[in-house]
Amino acid sequence: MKYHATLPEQNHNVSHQKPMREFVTLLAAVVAIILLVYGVLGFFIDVAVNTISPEMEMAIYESVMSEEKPMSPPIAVDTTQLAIQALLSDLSQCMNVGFPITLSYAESETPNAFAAPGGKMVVLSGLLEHIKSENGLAFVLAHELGHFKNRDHLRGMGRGVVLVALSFLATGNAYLSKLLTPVNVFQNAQFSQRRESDADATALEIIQCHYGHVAGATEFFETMVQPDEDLPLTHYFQSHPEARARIKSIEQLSKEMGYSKGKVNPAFWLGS
Amino acid sequence: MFNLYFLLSLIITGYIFGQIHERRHYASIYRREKEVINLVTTSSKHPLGDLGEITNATLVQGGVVISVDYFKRIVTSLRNFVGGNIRGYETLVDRARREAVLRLKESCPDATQIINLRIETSSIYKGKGNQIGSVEVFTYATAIYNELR
Repeated sequence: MKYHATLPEQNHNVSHQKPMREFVTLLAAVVAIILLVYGVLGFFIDVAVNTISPEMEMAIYESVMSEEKPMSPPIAVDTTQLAIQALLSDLSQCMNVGFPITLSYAESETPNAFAAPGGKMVVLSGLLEHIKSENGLAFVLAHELGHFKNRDHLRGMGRGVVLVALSFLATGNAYLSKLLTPVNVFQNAQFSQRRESDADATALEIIQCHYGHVAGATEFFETMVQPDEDLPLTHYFQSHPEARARIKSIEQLSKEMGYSKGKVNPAFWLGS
Repeated sequence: MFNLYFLLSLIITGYIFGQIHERRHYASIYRREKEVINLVTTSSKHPLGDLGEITNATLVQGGVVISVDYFKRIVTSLRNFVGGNIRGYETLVDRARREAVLRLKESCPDATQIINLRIETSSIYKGKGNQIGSVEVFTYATAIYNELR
């Protein structure tokens, strides 16, 4: 036997596919799968939210959260909290949410308020530093009432759970969840922005009903307008519409509804 | 948002450098394989043909460790969803195998034959957490010498 050495003409041990094309195809496929799963689960959450009665929500919340610790030390009940509570119950006259809302006033520099499960509205003290009139605060409270009315707090929580489950259970991989998270955040943000606009519209209605005019409605957002320093496209990924866009749509809506603007009431917490 | 840009830049960096490196490595493998093609290498326990008296036999070895790049890693984790050939890792392991065999052959250029070639593969820190994984290929064989050569 004569040994005759040759090399193979081509490499049979590797797949011949362009790596970048493979990446793009795979990414598109996985993103499509995730969007589909997220959309389907989101639909089921909406169905579930519509079937959970406020009483059931309260019962679930109390059994799960019985040992919950407060997020930040609550301030001792003071006149400000009582006044906010009074304003909230006045506003509730205009919009029957269907279940009692308890106010929780907490010390925090963040100017924010949010609707938590179990009919709990959290108002952070930083909010009051950004608002200069009672009407401005009333709009924010009415906005949160709108969230309760639409049960957005449950939808938001349900979608949050799905988001976490999808990115960590499905991928089981810190790298991939980082790559796919923007997709989820984007979709969630689009959903959330729609909910926020709905809540704004409800809030406008409540304010009109309570004061007879809508002055001060955009006050809080005006303090939140910031110069555009961020990277492009950022606002597509945010859960709330950009402050300027919000002011514009609130103004437009109040014009369409024929609401007028009157004199705002002074802020009771500033101690005139 | 920052995370996303950071991640994209990692992927692009991984792609560019990974591809350049792979292309260069394959060019080097093809060139060196031609240079050592006449050194008969088999997995057989016995020499091929009648070599007459064998004057020397030594253990020879060749090893290499190649790292996965970030791009391959991401493509692979996407591949986990849908299945199929992982091209990125195929080329990685192919390069490592051939490089290890080349190093083994280059370590004994005067041998008559290399017999009993064995190839072992292992992965180094299996890509846990934020670690990037690497593949190690280790080859060992017996180089035999005779005077007829």
